[in-house]
Amino acid sequence: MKSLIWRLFRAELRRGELTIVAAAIVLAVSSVWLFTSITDRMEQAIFNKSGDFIAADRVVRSAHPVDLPLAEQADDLELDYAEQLLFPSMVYGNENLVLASVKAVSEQYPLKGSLRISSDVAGSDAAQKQGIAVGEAWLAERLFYQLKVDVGDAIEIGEAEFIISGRIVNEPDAPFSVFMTAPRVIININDVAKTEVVQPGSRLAYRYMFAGEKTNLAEFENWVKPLLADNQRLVNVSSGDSPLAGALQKAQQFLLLAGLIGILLASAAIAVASRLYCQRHYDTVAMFKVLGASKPQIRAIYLGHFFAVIVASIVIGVGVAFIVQWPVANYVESLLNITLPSAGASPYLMAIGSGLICGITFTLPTLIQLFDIAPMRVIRRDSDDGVVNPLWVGIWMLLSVFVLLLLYSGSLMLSLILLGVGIAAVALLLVISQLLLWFGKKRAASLRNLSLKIAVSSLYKRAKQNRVQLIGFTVAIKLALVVWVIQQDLISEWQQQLPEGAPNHFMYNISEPQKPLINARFENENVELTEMFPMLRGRLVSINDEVVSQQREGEYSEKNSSRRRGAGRELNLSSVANLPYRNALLEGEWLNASSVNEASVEQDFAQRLNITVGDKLGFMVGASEIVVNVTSVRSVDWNTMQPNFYVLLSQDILKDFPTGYLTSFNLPENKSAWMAETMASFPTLVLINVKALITQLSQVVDQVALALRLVLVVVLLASSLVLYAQVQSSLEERRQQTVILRTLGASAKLLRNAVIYEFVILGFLAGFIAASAAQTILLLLQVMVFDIGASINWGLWLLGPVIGTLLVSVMGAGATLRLLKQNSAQLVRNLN
Amino acid sequence: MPTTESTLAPNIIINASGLNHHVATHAGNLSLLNDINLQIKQGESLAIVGASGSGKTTLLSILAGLDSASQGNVNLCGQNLESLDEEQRASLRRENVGFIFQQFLLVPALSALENVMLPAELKGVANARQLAEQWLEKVGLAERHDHYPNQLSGGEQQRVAIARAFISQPKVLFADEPSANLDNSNGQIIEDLLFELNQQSGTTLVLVTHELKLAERCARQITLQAGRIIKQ
Ligand SMILES: Nc1ncnc2c1ncn2[C@@H]1O[C@H](COP(=O)(O)OP(=O)(O)OP(=O)(O)O)[C@@H](O)[C@H]1O
Ligand SMILES: [Mg+2]
Repeated sequence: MKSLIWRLFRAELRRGELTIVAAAIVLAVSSVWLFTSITDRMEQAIFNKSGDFIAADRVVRSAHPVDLPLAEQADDLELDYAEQLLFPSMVYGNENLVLASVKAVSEQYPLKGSLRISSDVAGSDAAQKQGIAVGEAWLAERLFYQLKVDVGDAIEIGEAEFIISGRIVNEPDAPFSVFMTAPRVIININDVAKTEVVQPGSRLAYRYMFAGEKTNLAEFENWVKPLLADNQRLVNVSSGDSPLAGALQKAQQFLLLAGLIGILLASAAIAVASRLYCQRHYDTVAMFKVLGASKPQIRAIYLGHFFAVIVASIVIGVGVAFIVQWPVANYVESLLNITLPSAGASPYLMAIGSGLICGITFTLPTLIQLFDIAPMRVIRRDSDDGVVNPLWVGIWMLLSVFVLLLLYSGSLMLSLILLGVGIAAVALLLVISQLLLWFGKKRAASLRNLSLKIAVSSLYKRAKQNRVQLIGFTVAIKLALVVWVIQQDLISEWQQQLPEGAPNHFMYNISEPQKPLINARFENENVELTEMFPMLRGRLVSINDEVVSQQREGEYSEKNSSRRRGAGRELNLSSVANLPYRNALLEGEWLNASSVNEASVEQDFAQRLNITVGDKLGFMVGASEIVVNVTSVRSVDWNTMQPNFYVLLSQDILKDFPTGYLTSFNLPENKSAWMAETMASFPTLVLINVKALITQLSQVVDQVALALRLVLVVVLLASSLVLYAQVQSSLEERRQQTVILRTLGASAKLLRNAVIYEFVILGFLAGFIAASAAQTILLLLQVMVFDIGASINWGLWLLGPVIGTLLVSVMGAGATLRLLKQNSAQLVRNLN
Repeated sequence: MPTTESTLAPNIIINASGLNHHVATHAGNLSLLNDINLQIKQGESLAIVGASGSGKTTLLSILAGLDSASQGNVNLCGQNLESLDEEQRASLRRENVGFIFQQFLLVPALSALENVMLPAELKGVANARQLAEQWLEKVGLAERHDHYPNQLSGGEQQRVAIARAFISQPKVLFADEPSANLDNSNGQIIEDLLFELNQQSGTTLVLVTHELKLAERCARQITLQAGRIIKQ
């Protein structure tokens, strides 16, 4: 018996019957390996690198000193540890006084990312630094202009004197809302006491920073979280509200989803391929049974084969993954300039595990059907060529798919969306295919074209099997479409947030008389300025004549205040003619030139303060009070690094006040000397350079986009394999008919056309239904998972049917041609 | 092994009584076999003849236990087929029955030799290969051991099928139109081979054919018409 199993197995190998099953398992194994290894490592590397953005892996933020043994705990857990204290203070230098944002750091700062300091004001050289010496200070570029000081000069902060020892070129954890905050001064944390600026009641921000191994960080998180008070917060890079955090979270969700879909597709390929294999063996098994083979014998033969194939495919899959990962990892590392952490053993375990699970769960049902083939089949094939799946197979497959989804995603919602829409699509498919076939049958009789007639009648005759095929085609196309659209959406969303040539400098404090001069100067140099935003600082004092609280955001709560919630700080008010970039009108009407005393407010701001269209807002600007009517609510994309405002006023209001202006521009590399000159001739201007920030951001976005594309390739491969296996399987069912017609003397052209028409109809149907299902899944995902706003993707509706029709019919035609190349005698022999 | 007691004379190897068979079709119940009663003795050769569609193949498959009749009993080699499950019938076939079909029905993945070995291997015979070599030689295909079915002519394939049928030394051999797919001379070779080997091994032969000439080589003939035996 053993030698029989072995001999049959060798014969199968020789005939290539098991190749598609093997290919599907190899794909499943290597793609799981790839997902869990490369993408996971890429993600880790990206996260590692983006830790730069908070200069640490974790930060505890608090407005008061945290009374916990944080340093000791960090030490115990082998975490790096640093402290920061931030406070606003006037800085005095060269007889000028400027409000600065002081950052006092311990000597380990920064734990991650690069703090780059230049030793002169205008030069481009900069050195990497960690910590700052006692008695020294590093200043933001614009402070040099504002204070009219140079490196080596002295400045005073409170009661203490500092020597300026450098200019800040890059501060890893600089705030994103950079253009409205006071310029930075960095000093040593041990100098804070000397300044005597920090008093009870002053505005302070304490930051305790940690960095280290993932597991240790997790342990630290578990320890510290329950101990933190309400006004203390533990943050990591993705919990922030930076554009980066959003991008990373979405990328992570995408990788998860795409990984899931890749595995689903590989599973589908395995199921379809094993069905194909079993179809080809119905006759053989029936023959074995006629010859008296017992069920255990048949089981031993085929389970033996599949076991061998699964094991071999897993080995090959891991081998392929291992070979593929070298160039891929190298490419990724060099392209993104990151070092991938070592993969460890878990990808291997995951890959082997999923190979086993997919291999077993998705081949077993078809095998069990194979074992149940009646010996009578040798004499009479009752139901054409295919055995239609009974209900339990469907349920078994659905359950396995669900368990797989849950295992990989750990998200019930994601699993339910994918599975639910999948089931709905199948139901829709059954209804549509039934209708079309019914319609087609009526039409078929009147068709002139013989090929088309054969195609339609054969579609009808095998309606049940065709449904199974349609499901295979649809699933493959649908899932690939979903992944394709989402990765496209995400990438284009990011690209829109950081468009090529976006402003990388902000300039404000431009006075009315300076405005034309600045305009002219920039025009001369061919540097394009964006709009000049008038700027007015105002304090929100009332809403609908009700006086509001002036307590700071974070300190206000309804319990401790009798007043209505206010803005929490002074606001920047402005006025623009057109709705700003990536703002959207949600309610009311946009301000126009004839608007009087009107205002447009940002959505979150309106929500927090409970403001709606029609409310009256009172502002104190300088000594005068203005009252405006809210006529619209806007949404704002805060991730664009463009000037944005909570409150925009109608143009009539700003006319009555002396305003400064804010503008932004993209400064070319070679114009920094000119820029320094400009700043020297307009010393009151404030310049903020966000180039480093944008570069860093777009780098991360590039990295993530690459990860997404890599995943797309794997998904497309898996999808093609499903299509290929399904086409083969469909052809298997058409073979008998093709051979018979061929023997009867039907021309190759007729037969080929018949098959092509059939596949065109199947492919189009599958593509169309796949597009509808993909659109549904996308809408649900966009709204419930990715939070990127629902949108209809028209490209999908075109691509689905076109790709479906083309791929399916080309693959079908190719395989049929091979069949037709053999002469009839061979065909008849192969039929046996 | 089932132990259904036989109440028949010991020399009766197949006993069919009161067989009726019908199938449900779109047009209603279609009756394929009507009140068939048939006894076949050990070592006897029986020809079932009749027009196309008269139910010959249907009867054969019921007698061989490949299909179950709607009504009636079949006793094969002392076992009542109705009382056996699928597995037990398979084992009965393995031990006692051989088949030859009109369409040869070789396993395409196996070589000629391996096809012949198959029943012996399923039975667990130790020297399957030697036996198969002997049988291939007897059917005149000693040279074609390693050829696959699609490399053999129809006549050669059928000779392999005959060797495969005889290798397990069955008590009963069922043959359904063994020469119908072959030309005259090849058909003749097959028929001669079949009767010769049958004689040598004393097997009971149940042969379905529509050729009277072939039927006459059997010791007994029955004629089917529309599912009834009209001539014993
Ligand atoms: N499962 C079934 N469903 C419908 N009709 C059937 C079924 N099985 C057999 N028949 C019909 O029963 C009749 C007898 O079939 P059978 O194959 O026994 O004929 P036969 O005598 O062997 O004919 P031939 O000499 O052409 O082989 C035929 O008309 C056949 O179409
Ligand atoms: Mg017949």
